[in-house]
Amino acid sequence: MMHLLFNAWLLLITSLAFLFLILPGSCLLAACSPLIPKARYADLTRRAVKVFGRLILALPYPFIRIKYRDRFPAYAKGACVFVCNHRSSSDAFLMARLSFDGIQVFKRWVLRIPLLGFMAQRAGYLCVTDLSPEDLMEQALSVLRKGQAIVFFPEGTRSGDRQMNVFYSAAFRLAMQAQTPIVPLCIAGTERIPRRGSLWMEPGVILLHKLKEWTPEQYNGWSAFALKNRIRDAMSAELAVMDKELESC
Amino acid sequence: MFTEAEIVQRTNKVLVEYFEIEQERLVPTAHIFQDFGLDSLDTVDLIVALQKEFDVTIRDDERIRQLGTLQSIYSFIAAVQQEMNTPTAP
Repeated sequence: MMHLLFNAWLLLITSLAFLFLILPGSCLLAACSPLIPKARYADLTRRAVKVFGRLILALPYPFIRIKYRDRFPAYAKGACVFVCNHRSSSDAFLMARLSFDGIQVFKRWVLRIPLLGFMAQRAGYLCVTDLSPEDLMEQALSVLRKGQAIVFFPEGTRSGDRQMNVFYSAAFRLAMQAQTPIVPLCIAGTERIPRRGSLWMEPGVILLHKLKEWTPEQYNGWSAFALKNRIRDAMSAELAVMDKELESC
Repeated sequence: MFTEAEIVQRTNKVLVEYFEIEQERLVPTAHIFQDFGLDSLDTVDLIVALQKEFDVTIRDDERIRQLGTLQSIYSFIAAVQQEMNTPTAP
């Protein structure tokens, strides 16, 4: 009963936020598009996505709490490749919680989500299913050369539980080619918020940890395969600690 | 020309040194995608490493698409080697 009430309340406030803040904001941004240069417009859209994302993340508080820990805050922002584990569809929203502004790499189904798909396209996010591997690499390199960060979910799809799928190597090859750092991001708790294939939200805690970056000085000389597995192992160890912490919450 | 045992030993060496796969996991029935977690881009790296190790050109060989288990790689290298050493008709 409590969960039903929570989900009804969440649906109500999310709808209100969508109708009175997100939709008008997006319409205003779309209306301004002919007046703003394309690159600047993409930048503005990313900022809007971040604001809307933070709003969406704040709405379920205190029933859903997000704890962000930057384990190595000294890292200078700029061109880098963020790699995140992927348990749930809500993981992408968590990027709004971070201090950096990154271009996300997403799959085609995101475009089917009303407004979100539109915003993702306008923000210059890269659709992995629409691009050939060569085009994806070229566009992603261009993003990094502009000094921007790029966000990958190297599992390729949601795991739906606490297991982590095998990593694809594209993100790591990109970093190696561009000689940029790789920053792992670990997400725990979203496997129930919502569960895969469901929109049903459960109250709980979400942990988001940013780990130490892996620099080209560290990884040069390794194969992309070895690099992806070493980073996956590091993330796996961190996630085991995070999952334990969640059990005690 | 390498013997069957040398092909196995050299292929396994590539997987250990370049891909950091533990020696004990290198059994002929092991699948490079399902068991080792290679993806299509990693396969390109594997092919390049095998070319270097065996001094063969296999990058454009159609049979690469059928590679899956370690045994299929051993057999493929053996077949390529055999073809290279078969004298062509004048």
